This record gives sequence, structure tokens and C-alpha cells, in this order.
Amino acid sequence: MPMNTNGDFDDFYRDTSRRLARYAYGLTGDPGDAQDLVQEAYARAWQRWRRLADYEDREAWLRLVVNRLSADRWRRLGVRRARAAAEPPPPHTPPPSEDTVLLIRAMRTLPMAHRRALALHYLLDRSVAEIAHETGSSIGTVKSWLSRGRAGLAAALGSDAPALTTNGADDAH
Amino acid sequence: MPTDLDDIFASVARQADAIPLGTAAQARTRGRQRTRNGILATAAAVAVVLAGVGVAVGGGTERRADHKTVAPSPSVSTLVGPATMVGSPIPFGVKTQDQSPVIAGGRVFTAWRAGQNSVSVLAADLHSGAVDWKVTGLNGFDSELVGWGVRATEQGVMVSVDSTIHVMNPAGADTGDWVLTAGDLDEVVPFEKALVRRWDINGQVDAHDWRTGRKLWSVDPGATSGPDKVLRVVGDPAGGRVVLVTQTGKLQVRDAGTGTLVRTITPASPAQAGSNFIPYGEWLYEIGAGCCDGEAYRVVTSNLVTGASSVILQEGAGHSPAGLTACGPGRVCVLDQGDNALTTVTAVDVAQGKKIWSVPGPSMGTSISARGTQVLVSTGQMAVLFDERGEQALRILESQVSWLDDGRLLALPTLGSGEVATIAVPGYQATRHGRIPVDNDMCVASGDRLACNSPRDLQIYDISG
Repeated sequence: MPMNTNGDFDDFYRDTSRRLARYAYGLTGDPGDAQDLVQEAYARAWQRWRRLADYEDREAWLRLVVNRLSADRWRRLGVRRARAAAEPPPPHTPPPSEDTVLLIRAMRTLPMAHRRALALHYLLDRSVAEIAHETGSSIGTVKSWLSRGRAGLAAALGSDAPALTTNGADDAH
Repeated sequence: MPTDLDDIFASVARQADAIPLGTAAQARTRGRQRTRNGILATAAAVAVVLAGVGVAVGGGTERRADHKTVAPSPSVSTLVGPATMVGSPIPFGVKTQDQSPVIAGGRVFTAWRAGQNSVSVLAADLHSGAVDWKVTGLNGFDSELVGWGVRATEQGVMVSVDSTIHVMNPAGADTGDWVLTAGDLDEVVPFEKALVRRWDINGQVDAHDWRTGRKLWSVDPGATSGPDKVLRVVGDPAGGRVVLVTQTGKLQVRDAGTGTLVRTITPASPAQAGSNFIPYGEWLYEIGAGCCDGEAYRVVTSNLVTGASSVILQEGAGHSPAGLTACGPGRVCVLDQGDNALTTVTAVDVAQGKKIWSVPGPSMGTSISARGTQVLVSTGQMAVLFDERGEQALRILESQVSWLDDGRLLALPTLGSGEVATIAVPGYQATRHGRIPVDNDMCVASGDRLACNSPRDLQIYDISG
């Protein structure tokens, strides 16, 4: 393995980990889960680093790992229990704002495909075309996910929620 | 309150940006330490089948200049194209967020999210590939479905839907199917005689009948809370003993069927709930953090019949534990990670507490497992097999390798779809079974079958021969 492997990985981690944390938080709505998912995804990346180096979009691979891990209830049981038994509690995270609580709660009512599209679009600034490429779906499908996702958010947020408007970015991409 | 969706998501992003993250170095360490019986302790405890998840094989070996042993090349006995599928793919009906299937008792089980708050599960016969049964519409008590999954033993299938665990008869429809709820810090551990559940909130331990859910025995919090609260349930799932690790570091050995306290052991070094415990016959091996500064970790053995206990290995600063396995009667093997990702494999005589041999392992070794005295150390990208004298018997490159059974290794591709091979041990004859078109991380193997989930269906492959 090349001498600069650690450095390459560390650079990749530094450049991408915050974005992955946004994505993981958008999917799970739980800071502790997001924190662990990010570490686990990069741990798996490190195990495969030599092969991943040839990948065109390593961040997409990380997000695929997060997608899978976030839904595995048995894994979460084990991880949280192991964390509680073996490690001190994670550092304190500032409490979320009211907007965040409302939106995260609403996100968790959505189908995974909609949640994933919304997270990619609004938290990672991915265009409709980029989301389509990453998910292997058509642009029309992605637009549908985003549209139905926004509608789902509006329904879940209910009458107390702010009126949902967008800046029309979907169509701009 | 902002009224624009972009503004609200910007608020979510700011919240996410405040989540404390570990460092890249910590991620690398975790990658090295990620073993199937480490961080996935619960999953490993539940899945009693061989966790042959992973990859495909590039096949091949290399000579190692710094070692006298020349690893023999596995000879290829057959060459085939696509792997041979058993039956037809079993469709899920939806494109699903995939998880790997599980195998138990000659069946493969898989669960998937079929609706907004609904999970489906099916069982298929591994030999024929036919669907044995399918259940749809499993719901949790929560309105928002976040997580799901399936684990199975010969006694029961456990389908988790958020905090609800549906316990089902592996053979099919049964009016005795029942549910329990478990929080994220609770433990649910299968034993042959009972399904054991520990409540994290107070340390209570309940054992349930597999078929009816009836409580067989219980260790109530009045007896175990306070200074000696139960923090962990361990033991050999197929054995008759349940071992409870208490807050004061003691081991309560109980009969799995009745809950009767057989013995309380005070280990030579207090047991720690976060350690890795390996049951082997009447022994329980523990590898975990050291007692104090300067002791990175230690290995403790406790005899569950006699109560004898001793510390058989201690390592100081600059070392970290990567794995522990029983490697023959009266012998344990330890994978140690030093600085710079270098590893050492050490075999220790349990009775005498002495090192039998200690040799360099593969760089970035992350897991260790054994069948008899043959020890496999894998990096996730390649693996080395050591014989009973600690000499390298085989190196397998570009593959994720695990034991398929006592006489065969399974090699899967390291990333994405690829080729599957099995390697006889000893003899090192490799048999190539063809390519699988699905992601290797979604596969499990047992005997002569490899079962893999694609996003749309379950596929079973023949890896006999």
C-alpha cells in the first residue's frame, strides 16, 4: 500500500465527512445515529480504500452504505448497546431548533426514496440530474420524488407548519 | 419561523454541521477493528449461521519475502461462467432498501420494507429455492417506520420493525407467533432453550419460550439492580448456559432453560460489558480494555464449570485488540494491531498462560477466525491462513474470505459484484463457482448455498462441488 494512503484517506475524510453527516442526519433525524453512521461508513471505506480509489464517485458509495445501515434495526440495537457499554456518552450536541424538529419529524414519515431525494437536493445541493444519476432513476422520477416529498412534508407538518415554498431550483437544474 | 423550504433545510443543515464527528484516524482505527464479533456483537450473537457476507474472489496468492513459508497457489479445478442459480429469483414486488438475508435450519429468510409502515418477510428452502412462506403487513407500534431487519435461528425467526420484534415459527404459519418490544439499548439474545432479553433500564433479564413467548424464567431487577446490575448477556447460543455480566465485573452462570444460578464467578480481571466474549466449550474467553494506564488490553479466561479464571495475555501501550478466537482445544488466538496498521497473530495456551507462537499478520488485518487449529486473518481485501504452528499456509488476494464450514473457505469479491470461489482446507484446491451479479455485501452462505439480496429479489446460488 502506498505510503501516502493514510494521507489520501484523511484528505477525503476532511473534504467529505461534513456532507455525509448532513445526509445521515437528514435520513435518520438522530444526531447520535448520524454520528455513528458516518464513522461506520468511513471505517468500511478504509477497509476497501485501495479499491475505492478507482471509484468515480466515492461519496456516492458512502451514501449507499449509509442508506443500508440506517435502515438496519438489528444493527442499531447492537451499535447503541455497544456504545453505551463501552464508551462515554458522545459530546453534547446543541438542541435542534423548532424548525429542525418539525422538519425532521416530518421527513421520517416519508418513504425512503422521497427522503433520500430531499436530503440530496436540499442538504447536499445536488441537482435533479445528479440525483437521477446517483439513484439510477430518470429525471422525471426524481422530480416526482421531490414533488411528492414536499407534499408529504406539507401534509405531515399540518396546519401549524410554515407554508412550503421553493425557489424553483428543481427546474433550474 | 422561515416559510421557505430551503430556509428550513438550511436550519437542518446547520444542526447537522454541529454534530461532533470523530477524526479520520478514528475511522481508520474502527475500520481495522471492525470485526464480525466486535461492534456487531448483537447481530453476531443473533445470527448463529456463518456470516459469509462479503465479496467475490480474484483468487491468487503471492510470496512473502519476509516469511519463510511460501504460500501455495490454490489450484483451480473448474472454470464456470455465471454462478448457478437455484430455482428462480424470488421477487419482493418493490424496489427495496436492501439488507442481507439470514440463514438458519436449511432456510433463508429476508425482510424488506413493503410500504410506508409495513415490512414483509419470506422464507425459502435453500435446497430447492422454493418459497416456504411469506408474511406481509408486519407493523410496529410506531407510526414512523425507521428501521427493520431479520435474524433467525432454528428455533425462531425474529423480524424487527422499529422497536417491535415479531417472533415467528421458522416452519411457517403459527398462531403462537408473538411480539416483544425492545429499546435500542436492550439486548435480545437467542439461545437454543430460550430467547433471552435484557432490559437496559434496570438490568432485568427475561427468558421466553420460543413458540409461545411465555416467560420461562426471569432475573428481576430487585435481585440484580444497584451495584450488581446485569449489563450484558453472553454465552454459547447452542449451549445450555447463559452468562450474565454484572456491573461489578462478575459472571453469573445460569441454566438457559430454567434460569437456575449455577455459579457466580469472580474473574481474575473484572469482566467488562463492552468486551468481546467468546464461548468455547466450558470456557468463556474475554478480550477487553486493560485495567489501568499502560495496559492496552488483556485476555481473560474463565471456566464456567469450575470457576477457575486467569489473565493469559496482557499488552501495553502501542497495541490494540483486533480480535480473539478459539483456535483449538485449550488454545486461543489473538489478533493484535500495533501502530502503523501492523498486526501480530499470537496463539496462547490457556492452561499455562503461555504464548505458543506469535507471528506477523497481514497489514490492516481486521478479523480473526478459526476452524480447529487453522487460523484465518482477513483484511477485507485479502486473507492469510495460518496453520497450527503459526506458519502461513495460504494467502488469498483481492477477496473477502470467511469460513464456509470446517473444511472450506468462501471467497467473495471485495467490492461490488464478482466471482465466487471456495477453497478446500487442507489441500487448498480452489473451486470457482462463477459470477454473482449482486452486491456482495448482501450475501450470506451456508453449506452448499449462497443467498443474496438484490434490490428487487432474493437469489440463491449453488456453491457445491
